[in-house]
Amino acid sequence: MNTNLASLDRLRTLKGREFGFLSLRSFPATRHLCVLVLMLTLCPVAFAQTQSSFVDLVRRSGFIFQGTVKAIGESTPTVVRERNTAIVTVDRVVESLPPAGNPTGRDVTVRLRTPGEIRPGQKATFFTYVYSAGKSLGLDEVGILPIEDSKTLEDRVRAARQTLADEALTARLRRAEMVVVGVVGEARPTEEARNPGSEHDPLWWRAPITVRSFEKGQRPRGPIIVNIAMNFDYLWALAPKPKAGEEGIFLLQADREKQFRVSGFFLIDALDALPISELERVRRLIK
Amino acid sequence: MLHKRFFTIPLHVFLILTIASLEVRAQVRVVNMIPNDMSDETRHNSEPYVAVNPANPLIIAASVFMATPPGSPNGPMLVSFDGGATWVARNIIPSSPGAFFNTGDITLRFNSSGTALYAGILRAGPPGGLQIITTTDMMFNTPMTVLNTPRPTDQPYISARTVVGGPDSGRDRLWVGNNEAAANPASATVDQTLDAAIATPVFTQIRIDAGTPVGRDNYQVRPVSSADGHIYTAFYRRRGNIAGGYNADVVVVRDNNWGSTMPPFQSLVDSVTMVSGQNVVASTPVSDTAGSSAALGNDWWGGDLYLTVDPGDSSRVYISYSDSLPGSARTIHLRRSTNSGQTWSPDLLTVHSAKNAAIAINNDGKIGYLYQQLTGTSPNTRWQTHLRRSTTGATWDDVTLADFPADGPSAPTGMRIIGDYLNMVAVGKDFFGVFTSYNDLVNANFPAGVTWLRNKTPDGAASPHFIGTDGVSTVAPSIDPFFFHVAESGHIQVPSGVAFGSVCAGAIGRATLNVCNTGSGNLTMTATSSSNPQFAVTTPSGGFPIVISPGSCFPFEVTFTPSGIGAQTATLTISSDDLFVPSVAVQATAEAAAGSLGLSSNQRFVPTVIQSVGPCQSSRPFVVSNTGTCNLTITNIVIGGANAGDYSLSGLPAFPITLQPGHQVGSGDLNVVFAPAALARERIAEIAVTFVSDPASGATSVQARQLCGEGVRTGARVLVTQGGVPVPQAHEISLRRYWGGWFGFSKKVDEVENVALQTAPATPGTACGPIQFHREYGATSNPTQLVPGVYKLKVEVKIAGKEVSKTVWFNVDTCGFNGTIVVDF
Repeated sequence: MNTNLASLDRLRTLKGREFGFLSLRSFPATRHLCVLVLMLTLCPVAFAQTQSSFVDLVRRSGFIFQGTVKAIGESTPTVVRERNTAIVTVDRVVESLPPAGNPTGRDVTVRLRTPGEIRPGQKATFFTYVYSAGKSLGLDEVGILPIEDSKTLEDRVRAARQTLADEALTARLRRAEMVVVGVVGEARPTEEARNPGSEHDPLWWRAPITVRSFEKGQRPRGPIIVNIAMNFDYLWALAPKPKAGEEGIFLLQADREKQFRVSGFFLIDALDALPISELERVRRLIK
Repeated sequence: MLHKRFFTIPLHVFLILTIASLEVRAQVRVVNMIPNDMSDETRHNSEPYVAVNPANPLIIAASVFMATPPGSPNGPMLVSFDGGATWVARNIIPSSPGAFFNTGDITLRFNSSGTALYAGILRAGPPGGLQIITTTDMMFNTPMTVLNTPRPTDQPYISARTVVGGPDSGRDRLWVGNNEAAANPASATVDQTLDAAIATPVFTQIRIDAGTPVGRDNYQVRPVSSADGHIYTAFYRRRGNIAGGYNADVVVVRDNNWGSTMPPFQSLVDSVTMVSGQNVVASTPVSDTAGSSAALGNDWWGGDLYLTVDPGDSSRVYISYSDSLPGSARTIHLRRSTNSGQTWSPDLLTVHSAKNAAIAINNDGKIGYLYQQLTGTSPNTRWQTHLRRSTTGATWDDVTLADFPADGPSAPTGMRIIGDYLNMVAVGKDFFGVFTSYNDLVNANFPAGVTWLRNKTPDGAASPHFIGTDGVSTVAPSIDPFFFHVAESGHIQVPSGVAFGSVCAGAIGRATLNVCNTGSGNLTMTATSSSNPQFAVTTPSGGFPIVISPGSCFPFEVTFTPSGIGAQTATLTISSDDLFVPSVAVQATAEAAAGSLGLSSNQRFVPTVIQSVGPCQSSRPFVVSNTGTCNLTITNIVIGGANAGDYSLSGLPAFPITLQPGHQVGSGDLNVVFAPAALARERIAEIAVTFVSDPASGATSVQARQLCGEGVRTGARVLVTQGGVPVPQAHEISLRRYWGGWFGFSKKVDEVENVALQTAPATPGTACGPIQFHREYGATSNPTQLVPGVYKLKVEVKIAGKEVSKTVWFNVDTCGFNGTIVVDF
């Protein structure tokens, strides 16, 4: 079990204890006081774990919604019925990333990790991702949390996404050889672009950058040349393709693995070119 | 009679009845493959591929570049379980969560037994590189399993086949063509396993270019396998760079034994160079645009290669390749070899400005050629997807499947919008294919029609557009995958089963079973069968196969020959070459009937004077009839039992006799005659009728009736009643005989007092009945007979303590016994 899964399982366990989400209904009333005491005791620890685990839940989800369980062991149209599939009515979409869309009010199928923990009629927050899309959605469960205020939940999810985005950008900034604010000049094809070895080659075009500020790294002696991948195939479709005269923040990457046959810096990842509006964020994260 | 006439004239003249009301399916069906639940989708989905399960063509798997959903470790594959009418995206391709593309290049094949799907992919996300994956889950509900160790290479192109016969029968074999830069310059490679279905198949990398390429072989390496173990592979062998591209040989290599010949893939030697691999064309220029532009239809143009083999003849091989000869830039060529790749025909088709070719050969040897052509001149270019078909390779039809602007404001934006491959396969007679096209409801045309699964405005809307999953939002047009099915085979339809109703056993019922063809091609019927031998579908005089043209029906004669009585059913199975419904089962019902015997009830005769007194007798009509709807055969009628000699039959015909429905034995003149031989209260017998109860088997049954009569002498029986109720005792009964006419002579015959009521009970199980009387003459309790004559009977009873009397006169003749003298007070 990897760390994320472990923390997620802890979250599931703690949540069950904290809120009596699935299991406290069956607790005798006499035990509630003990549970309350346990909650108060564990609260600081549990809260700390919940925050990091919540981000992980969001990281691993593509469709988060609040729903009502309709049936266990059943499925919606075009989704295969399995022992652990449940029909859940989507009451409110908290976050939907493509291709989930907006199925508010419709039934979806959730493939539960532990189907015995939830019963028809229960409401919950489902962290899922799509595994089947036809006439209805099939969703794999990442985690299930109790219902909470939807506005609060949306804010938490939004904050988690921002945390994840910052993590990704931080990693990219750290990897970058140089981070500059500048304007891209006219690009010209390299020999690699004129005579590719494969249709999946990046097709590097070289362009100078007129630098206005250095956010990371020192001004080199010569001009700063960046290689732009002009290929639109699956490997390079997301690589930034700034046009001449375009101003932005450029995370200039080096070819550390020496996998390209051209010199200079490279724009490889979608995060390697950002609009000027992101400058404050970049400066915050680069520290 | 109609049937007999039908089956005696030539088949091709009479057998086909055109049914005007039959709705014939469209031959070409185009379906947009984006599922309804992905109605928000606006990505450019390019480079589609399709595989059809040969054992069940309703199951189809297709790939196209789509996003992997965030969170999902697996990317979507489009699957259909209804022959391509509807599609579901199932995330089963190993990928990376949220990957921009579900996978890089991907090709798919089912094994020929239809139990497994194999794919060669360029993995999106770590570890990247070539992966060969598989699933045996034909619901495509579980992620595909990786079979090999990945490594960097390009354009995996898969062929799969299940060995039939021989020691390796049942083994799945894979050939994955790819271009591996690590092997440059001879980079054309086939990854091969001869047993793919085991847990850890062994793959070997076979470098198939035995020549001397310059720099490298081109990207496209296309293997294809035949059922007899001939494996062909085509590739471009680069011979040298030229401006804007390179010169290349278009090479076909072959292995005659599943790729296991040593050295492999060297069974075909070029007739000129004597190097392994026959040049289809040598050193032809191939441009490589190394990018795309509006003038190029916003796509990349390079080599284009497709190879296929005739499923009915492994020596007939078809290839499509592209070149860029001066004056005819980027032209695709379709050629054929009829000698296993040794020599090649001139172009069967030559298409300029075209790419993404695919060839499929159906079971009839018909050629399907699919390609996408950039027509017009900039800025008015259009991408058109064409399907061409030919039975000979000489004359071709042309179906435009899609047509959209490639340039200008109405064109889709972006680059490499359709990609560099698509696919088409043939299963049976039908063609199945996928292509990508702009889906714009305004600017894209689908001349053969199109079906949408995604939300859209209704047909005829003023401003047609797509609608999102929320049912409200407008969704922008984009490049989508499209599936098409060309039905060359017929489609069987049996409008109804067969209901014979009642059929008499021993006879043969006949009915018509119409088998219709609602498909767009001929339907070939191969056999019929019945689950019940009493039902049979008559094989036409010309035998099978029977060909039914589209929109026509064939009237099969169905017979019902009962072998027993009662309700009968059968399942009639009609086998045909309908691709999706190879056999149809319909119900046949019948009621096997026989005649039904109707008999008179038990017979009870009036007291009859015994033979020793005189030749006296009584008779009763006895009805033996057929109350059913079928003929009834009576084989015998006999009288038996204790006093059978007292009875006889009159009006009896000779047996056996067959009664038609409603008829009677002896035409109603059959009588049972009672002539008792002894004085007795009960003279009993039984009349038994034997008839054929199951005409099919000849089995007979017997039904019997009881006979009962009383043997008496001439006489009478007196019962005294009061108000209709027998009195317990008559005070006095006296009887005098009178004779002499007007002279009035008389003589006392009998005078008894205090005569008690007597009851003679009947023997149970007989036709006899109880008898009550106070005094009888000539019968069991008083055998003294009355001589024929006139009698005066006087009866006295006491009513309320007073004696009252009545007098009754009766007559006794020579066979007379008056058994019903009731004197009522």
